[in-house]
Amino acid sequence: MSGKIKKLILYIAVVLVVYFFLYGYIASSHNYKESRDHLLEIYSQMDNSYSMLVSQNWKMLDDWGRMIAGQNQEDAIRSFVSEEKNNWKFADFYFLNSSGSYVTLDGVAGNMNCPQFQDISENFNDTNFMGHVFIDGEDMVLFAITTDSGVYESFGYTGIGITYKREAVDKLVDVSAFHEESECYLVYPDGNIMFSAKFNEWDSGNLVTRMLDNGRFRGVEEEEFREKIRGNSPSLELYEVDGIEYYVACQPLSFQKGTILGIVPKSVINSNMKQVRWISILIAVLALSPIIIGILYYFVSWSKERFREKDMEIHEREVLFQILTDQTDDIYIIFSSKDYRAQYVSPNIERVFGISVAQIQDDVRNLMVMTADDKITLTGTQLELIDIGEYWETSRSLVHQKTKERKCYKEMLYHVSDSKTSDYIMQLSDRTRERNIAEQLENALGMAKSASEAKTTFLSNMSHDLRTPMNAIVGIATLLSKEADHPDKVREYAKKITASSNVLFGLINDILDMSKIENGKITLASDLFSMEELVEGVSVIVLPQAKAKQQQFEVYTDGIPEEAFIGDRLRLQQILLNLLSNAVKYTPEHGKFDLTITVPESTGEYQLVRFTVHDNGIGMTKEFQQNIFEPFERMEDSSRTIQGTGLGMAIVKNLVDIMGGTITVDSTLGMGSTFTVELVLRTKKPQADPDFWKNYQISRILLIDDEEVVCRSVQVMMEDTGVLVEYTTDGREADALVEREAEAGTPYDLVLVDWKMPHQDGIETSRRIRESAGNQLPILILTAFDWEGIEKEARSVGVDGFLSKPFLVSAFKNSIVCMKESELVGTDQEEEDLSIAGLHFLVVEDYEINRDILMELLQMEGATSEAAVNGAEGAEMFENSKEGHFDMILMDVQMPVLNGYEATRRIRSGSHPQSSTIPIIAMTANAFEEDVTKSLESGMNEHVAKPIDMKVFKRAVNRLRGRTS
Amino acid sequence: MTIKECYAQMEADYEGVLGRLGSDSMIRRYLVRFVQTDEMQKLEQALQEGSQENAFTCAHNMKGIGLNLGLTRLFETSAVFCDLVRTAIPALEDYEGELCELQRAYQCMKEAVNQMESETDR
Repeated sequence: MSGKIKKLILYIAVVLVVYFFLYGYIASSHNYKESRDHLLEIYSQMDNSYSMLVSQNWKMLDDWGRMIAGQNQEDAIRSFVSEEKNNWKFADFYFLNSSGSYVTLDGVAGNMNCPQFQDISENFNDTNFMGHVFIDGEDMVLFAITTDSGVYESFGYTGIGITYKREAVDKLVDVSAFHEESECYLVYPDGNIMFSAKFNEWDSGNLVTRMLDNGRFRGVEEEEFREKIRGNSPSLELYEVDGIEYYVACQPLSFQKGTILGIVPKSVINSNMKQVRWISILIAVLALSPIIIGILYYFVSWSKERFREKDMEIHEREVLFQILTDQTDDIYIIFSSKDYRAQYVSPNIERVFGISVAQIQDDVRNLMVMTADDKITLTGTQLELIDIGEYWETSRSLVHQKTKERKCYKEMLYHVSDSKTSDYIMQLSDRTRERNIAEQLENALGMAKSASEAKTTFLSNMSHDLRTPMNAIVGIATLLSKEADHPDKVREYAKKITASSNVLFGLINDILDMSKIENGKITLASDLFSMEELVEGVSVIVLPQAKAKQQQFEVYTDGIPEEAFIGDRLRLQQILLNLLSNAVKYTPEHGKFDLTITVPESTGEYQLVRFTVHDNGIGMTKEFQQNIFEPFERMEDSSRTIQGTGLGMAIVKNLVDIMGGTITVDSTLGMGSTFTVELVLRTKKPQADPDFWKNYQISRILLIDDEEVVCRSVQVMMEDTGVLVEYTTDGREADALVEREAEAGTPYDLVLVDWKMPHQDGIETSRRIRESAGNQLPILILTAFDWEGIEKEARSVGVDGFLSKPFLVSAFKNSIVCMKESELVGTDQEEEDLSIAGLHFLVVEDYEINRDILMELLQMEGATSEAAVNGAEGAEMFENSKEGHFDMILMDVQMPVLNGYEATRRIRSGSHPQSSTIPIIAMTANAFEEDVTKSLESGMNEHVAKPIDMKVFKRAVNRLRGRTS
Repeated sequence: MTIKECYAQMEADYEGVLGRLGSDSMIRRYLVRFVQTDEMQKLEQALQEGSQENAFTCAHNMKGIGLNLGLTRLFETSAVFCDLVRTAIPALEDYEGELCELQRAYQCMKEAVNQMESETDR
């Protein structure tokens, strides 16, 4: 039971006790008065009863006296009185005189044998009489009056009287108050007993004298008491016999001189009074108890409700706290510094630290087993150093006891205190991420600093490298002007200038490449190529260099899958070339080096490809190996003799990084070096399409390239395709050739033009061909360089597409497909086949106006659509749609809340039955290669550039439908 | 003033947009609607409030609509501005010039459209 209920009960009890005590006190203080009133009232009533009885009898006697006085005949008197005797049932009738002698109606004479009668007779003439008499040994009550003197049966009488048997009077007057424990006397003024109601035997004598003999009065002297008996006013006195107290009530008689004395034991009265009091208390209690019980019940149920509410509140708080500690990794411990016992340990400690709550509760210092460093902080003195209300902060490494994971925590120790206890709150929060970030920032700063230093070093080094060829050019140019008249000299100088310029050009190219990589401006293409093609492309360049130094170069490509790989072929080639030309540079004459390509691992369409370049050259020191991939690093000894920017390996490293691969080096000084590059490349099953060339109606092409070797190799590569390749090495002849063949009725199906040609470059050649051959003949430009720089110009003169050098059949096929697709724009005949009518699209686009335009355009094509305003909404709409509700999703890429890539990933990983199959078309304004790659990577199937052109769009849709069907 | 004249006045690609949207009325409807949404004012407000997200959205919207409606000059200037505010709002002096270009392009477009509208109303 709660303290409150106990308090309430105690309170009620106290109130009741006080109430009863006060009641008792007030009651007993009024005891005397009450007893007096009570007793006097009883005896006053008794006096009334006597008075009525006596006066009635006296009146009767008075009537009879007059009747008798007027009658001379004794017989008549006898018969009258006899008759009255029958009527009133008295015992006997007497003629009396003042000496107490009598004669009865029947003439029997006698004397009232009663000592008191003498006293009565003294007053007989003046008053009527009532009192005990003893006649013939029987206790009788006599009522008598005085009459005129007369004679009956010769007896001279002065009064008449009647007697009743004692019992008859007692019946008439009830004197048995207080269960006969009381005594009652009628006494004369002198104290002599007139009438005793108590006993049957004759009782006489002076009552006061007797009382004084037996006991004593209290608070009143004998004389005083006698005076009260003689007096006329009622009173109550105290009287004691053998330690028993009595009340003595004195009630003056109203019918004759005398007093009623009622003697009642005090205890009887008090017990009566006590009984009354107890009854009244009982009644009060009974009356009050429903109220008290009601109050108690109400209070108990109210407090129960309060307790329940409080319990709920506590429970809710506990749940909240539980959530807090469950969901976060912050640990809270409250402990006392006295015994190190913890009063509170957040329950997540088991999860976060692998240490049990009980362990910490037992002794908070058990936390120290997790400390990775030896800093002990929980010593009493150290805790005392923290002022109350202050805190102490530190960070420490803690080791998870189960996983052994090490994390960095911030520890806060708060010293809290109330009046009784002095406690500490320990808070531990994970700061590993912040620490790591700080470390990373520090590292980045360090790297930035060293990079900047390296650049400074590089600039001073480069000044030598750049100046050398530059000085040569300037110097030779001066000589050239002096020797202008000697053609042989001029030719020689020009040759030297060209050589120096080439060196300078190579340097500048490397520097530009590096800066491009460093600025993150490099983007990777997704070419389709075979390993054989890659090796061939590299070998063609490396072999002549190796030959020049009489070195032996071998290529091993065992167990390479025949599939086509997807990746940036040019960049991959650049990596290998850099590694191989380094091998050439750092391997002495007659040395040997090799390239090995293996596929150690393959999972599905992804292959781990390992390229190893090994030489037996001069090797490297361990120190240098550590810095070899840093930009602008070169072996000290070699820097003067071997040309280079020191950027080659940095470029390789960066390219490998961008491709998500690794590069390692293993070398021993004087023994040679081994570089290993590992890349994961996607493969594509070779699409056996024997009818490719027929389908694209290509059977004869013209190749224009100034290098005959290239032309021959293309012819060889195209041998298997059944396509006839004719070539010319002079662009100036091309247009005439094309025209001539067209006129002869054997037109070329396609023209391939090299960009860089002497006399007339590829652009000009294309322009001329387009002029003479019209718009139907497809023209592709073959270039070893990025075509972005020339694309605009080339397109303007009518070039249809580009093809990168070295020539590869697969790339050629790709170019033809691309070209044909873009050519198809505008051909009406296919329009009908491309209809998208009836399809239902989900359009995910954030900008309202663009969204509406797109939806209206779709509507115009007979398709229907629904809109989502961001990626999150789009993904949700699809997820909640019925299977088959949407046919396709059009996804904007740049959107708030969730961009297109993320939305696509969400859709692809969703639980919708079509999550992996629903075609998703990306829409972006930046139609760069990287956007296409990114959108395909995220799981989109097609990419359409903005602004959306319905013709292009419909083609994309149909490509998708073809693929899915 | 016809739509074609309007496009000529704001140096925009009428042929391109007509090829895609198919009808003058549709081009006009969206052009007017674009002017009414007043993305420029929203962009200026976003810049004032320093809200990169809103600024980028506005610039991106203008770029998008510039492409879609063939508003070449608006597209080019907004594309430049879009890149400027892609990750954060730079210091005022670093974008003042580009903003000015964009505002001019927008103003030019808005005037042309308003002129076309007022003439048609008459």
